[in-house]
Amino acid sequence: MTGAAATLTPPMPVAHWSEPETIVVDGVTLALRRGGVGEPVVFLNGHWASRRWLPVHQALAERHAVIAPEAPGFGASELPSWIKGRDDVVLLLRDLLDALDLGRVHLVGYGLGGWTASELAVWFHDRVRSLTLLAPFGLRVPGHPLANIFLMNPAGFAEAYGLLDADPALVAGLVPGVATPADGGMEEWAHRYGEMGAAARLMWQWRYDLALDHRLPQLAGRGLASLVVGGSDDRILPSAHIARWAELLGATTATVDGGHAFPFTAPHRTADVVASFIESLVEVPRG
Amino acid sequence: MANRLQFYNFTLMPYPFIPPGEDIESSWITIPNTLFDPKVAHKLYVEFLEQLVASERFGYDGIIVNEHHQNAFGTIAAPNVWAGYLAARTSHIRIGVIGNALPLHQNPLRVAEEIAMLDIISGGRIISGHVRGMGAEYHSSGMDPTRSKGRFWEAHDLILKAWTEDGPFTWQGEHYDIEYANIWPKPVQQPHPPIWMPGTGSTETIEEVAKRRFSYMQTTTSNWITKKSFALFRQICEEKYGYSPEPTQLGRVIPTYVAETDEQAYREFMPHAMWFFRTGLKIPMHHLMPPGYNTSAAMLRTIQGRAAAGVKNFWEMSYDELIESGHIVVGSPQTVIDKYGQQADEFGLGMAVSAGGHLGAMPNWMVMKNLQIMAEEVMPAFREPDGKPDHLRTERAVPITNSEQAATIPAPKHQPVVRLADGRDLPTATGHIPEVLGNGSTQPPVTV
Repeated sequence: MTGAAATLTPPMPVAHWSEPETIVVDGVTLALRRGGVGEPVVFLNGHWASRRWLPVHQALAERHAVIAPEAPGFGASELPSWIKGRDDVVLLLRDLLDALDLGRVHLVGYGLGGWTASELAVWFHDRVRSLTLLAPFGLRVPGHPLANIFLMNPAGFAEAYGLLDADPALVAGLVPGVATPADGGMEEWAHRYGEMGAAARLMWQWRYDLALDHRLPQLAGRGLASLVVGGSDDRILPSAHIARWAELLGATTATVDGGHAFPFTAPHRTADVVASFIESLVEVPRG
Repeated sequence: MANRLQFYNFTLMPYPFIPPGEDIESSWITIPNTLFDPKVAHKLYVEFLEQLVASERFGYDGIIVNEHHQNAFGTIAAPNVWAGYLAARTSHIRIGVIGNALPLHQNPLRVAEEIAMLDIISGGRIISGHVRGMGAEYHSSGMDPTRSKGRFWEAHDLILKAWTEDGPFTWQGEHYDIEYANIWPKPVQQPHPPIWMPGTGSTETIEEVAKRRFSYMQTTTSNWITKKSFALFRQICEEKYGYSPEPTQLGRVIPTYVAETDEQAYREFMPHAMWFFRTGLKIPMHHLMPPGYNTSAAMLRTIQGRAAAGVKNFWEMSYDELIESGHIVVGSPQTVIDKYGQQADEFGLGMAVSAGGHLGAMPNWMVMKNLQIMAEEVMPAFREPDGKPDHLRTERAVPITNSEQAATIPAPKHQPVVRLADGRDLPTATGHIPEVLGNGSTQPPVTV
């Protein structure tokens, strides 16, 4: 493997860390975490909070079978130099679904992962049973740009992401950007720098994909059930994006109290919204 | 016969009329340009350019401009424009563009062409610096920092090939796909203008520059890092590539102020040096290093190295610390001679860049004083007995006068002609003379 930017022994964050499984797909070592039984729900991470089995994963796993792969360059997943954009990631994820023998899945994506999830649905709609987007990046909504996640002053992270009033146990060690070595030490800082670089490869240029404006309605036309969830006070992704995604996808919307970090600060509420949506589509044996 | 040390006046052209560094997040990217008044800048630019022009008369080896965008630290957004101005206002001195930020430009051939134009009009006086651009500039240009390094080296290779190989040729790279690379004009210096590459001391940069036998210019750092970088450069040249580097392959940006006495220099330089480091260089890490600009492994090495060596941010250092660490040189002519001499002997320094000239928010008179004392009381200590800069002892790439041109440059293979209806080729140079034109008709020739 050449050009692998991610180390296979990333530093362990202070909370919620768990040893991942690894699987080689298309020659790329991918890390993933799994839990629960039932409907397969693939949860794609955003630009932060890697290397963890988080309360939102666990809460969702109490109702369905959650598979949470780490995107290339995040956590212990490799980032080969040939992965240049989201299209490469989409193909890799499709092959991951094959490798895990997952036919049709409920796809959930947060932030950047929501963008990737939507593209996976666009290109491989027959693999997607439902699409749930949590504060998804990817659209251009004139007058309401996504905050610059790559240029934010670390001193403003907590306020911008809605971490100030969060239960400290839920957000311990979660840093939504490169920040400084004071947050977790030099290895942790360098690892976050690498992860943000992996995110940059997928969304620096551009921060939106205008093609989604005509591709997403095609998904709606094919009858894909979708849910778009926003935080009540998201200062990273303006609420106008939630409305626009819903309009393009013909999706249901839901709101969870909190800022952009709502899946982490309100994990049970988030998981309940997602799981209930999935359950509204399929017969789920309860017991 | 070569001088022991070359002297370059490198002017960043800052716009210093901004709040102190402590009151701004950064002097880059987000600092609002409502602070910039073009009428104020007019006076600044005129003075900066006059200082550079005056450097020829003072006896400098070269004058240098560079490319930066959307900041108060250095307001030369288009250095080739200024190099064109300087080429017109000077006759002999070398002009360095250190450099053009290659990855920020959509088509590297534009840089190849502009440098070639500058090289021709200046009579072969251009030094071409190739840089990636500051990390901050990826925020302000929208260019992708994760592709910066790849684009940089590919652009560099393409430019070099365009200068040195016959066109047209096809370039099929990872970042640039150009069916017809065929630049008109090509540079006059053969095989190409000298190339400088700045670096902060990273092994990778030093390795690449050493391999290509270009000149390495250490950006503003401490003596400790500079000495280490130069030693590494020499070691790589000798052990890996089997040659001893020329002194002119090792340059260093070392802002210097010289005055009548140590005390006078120390007093005069202080506010300007401190503005430069405390406000001009106020650039926090989240502005300086966009994700993907470097690898995480390189970032970890850098931060661990800085921590181990106790390296502070520029804006956290006191004046005395800056002098002590060797970031700047300040003193009487003898003090500057001693410090430069020591660096030439111990580090292998061959080119002192920012050796005198403007820094920070210096008034014009102080810059001119700095330049003049440097030229008259420091430079001679490092010059051959004739006191000349090296370029006055070397032949120009092209003749200065038409008579020399006529005497020494062979006529081009093709003379411009017009094919007449009768099939004759009418030389344009004499075609207006009746005897030459004869009965020639300018109707298009009949083709069979």
